[in-house]
Amino acid sequence: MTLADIATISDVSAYLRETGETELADRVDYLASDADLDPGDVPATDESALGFLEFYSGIKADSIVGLACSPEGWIVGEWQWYPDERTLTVWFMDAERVAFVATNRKGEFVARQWNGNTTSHSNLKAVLEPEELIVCRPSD
Amino acid sequence: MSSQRLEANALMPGHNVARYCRPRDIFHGRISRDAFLLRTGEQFLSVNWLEHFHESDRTIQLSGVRNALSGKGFRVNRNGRLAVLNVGVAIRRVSDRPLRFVRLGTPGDPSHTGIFGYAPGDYITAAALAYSVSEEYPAIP
Repeated sequence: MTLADIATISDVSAYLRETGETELADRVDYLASDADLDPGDVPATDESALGFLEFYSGIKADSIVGLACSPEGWIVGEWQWYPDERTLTVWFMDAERVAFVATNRKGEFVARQWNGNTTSHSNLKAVLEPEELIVCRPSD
Repeated sequence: MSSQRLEANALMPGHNVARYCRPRDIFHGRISRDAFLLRTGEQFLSVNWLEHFHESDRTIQLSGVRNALSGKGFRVNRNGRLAVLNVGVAIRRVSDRPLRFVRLGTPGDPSHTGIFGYAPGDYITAAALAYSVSEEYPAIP
């Protein structure tokens, strides 16, 4: 399976599993299921999972990622294991739109002016890379 | 709610509150910042005031919160968590927002409290509140 073949959250899980990301794949399966859903919550959506995979597969970070899921079904990626004060949380609203909050090496919030707004993956990467939160992988 | 009532029912810096966190907001033993994000249409974040139940005994306080949540029909998930925040610590950490912890108190849940002063989509305040969590406990012991 290649990234171009992926259309559903099941595909995202299968791709992660194929590439050795078993724990992450298990977590995606859990978030896509009805397990532990609170009243009014929905499972993680296909579009959100596609957005997460596109971002995740295009970067490297000095932190592992943990996954949560908002009541709206948005996958939330949390990079909270940097060796310093850096942190990153990204809400993947669909395949294109994200919201985020991040702190730099000093623990200061970055890009405060975007608070409350959404942005695109490319803009997000453009903000995070200079702060050394991520390194973008070269495109194929 | 009027500003006078907000002021009259504001919790003090030494007080503590607990926030119920959904299982899907917990990963690797941590609580996601998403647990403190206001959703569209929400004017405050719902928490419970611990000192309503006892001045200092955390066991009694948490038992009170659990009973209050279930008593008003709120379905507490077995894999959920209760995150404890100190009011003063949280207000200092969110110093650029007029954060207020206001006791709302309903007959079914007199400890019900709202965190006012930020808006849906305020990801920075949600992150700062998450960072203010000092203790976590199972939602169901």
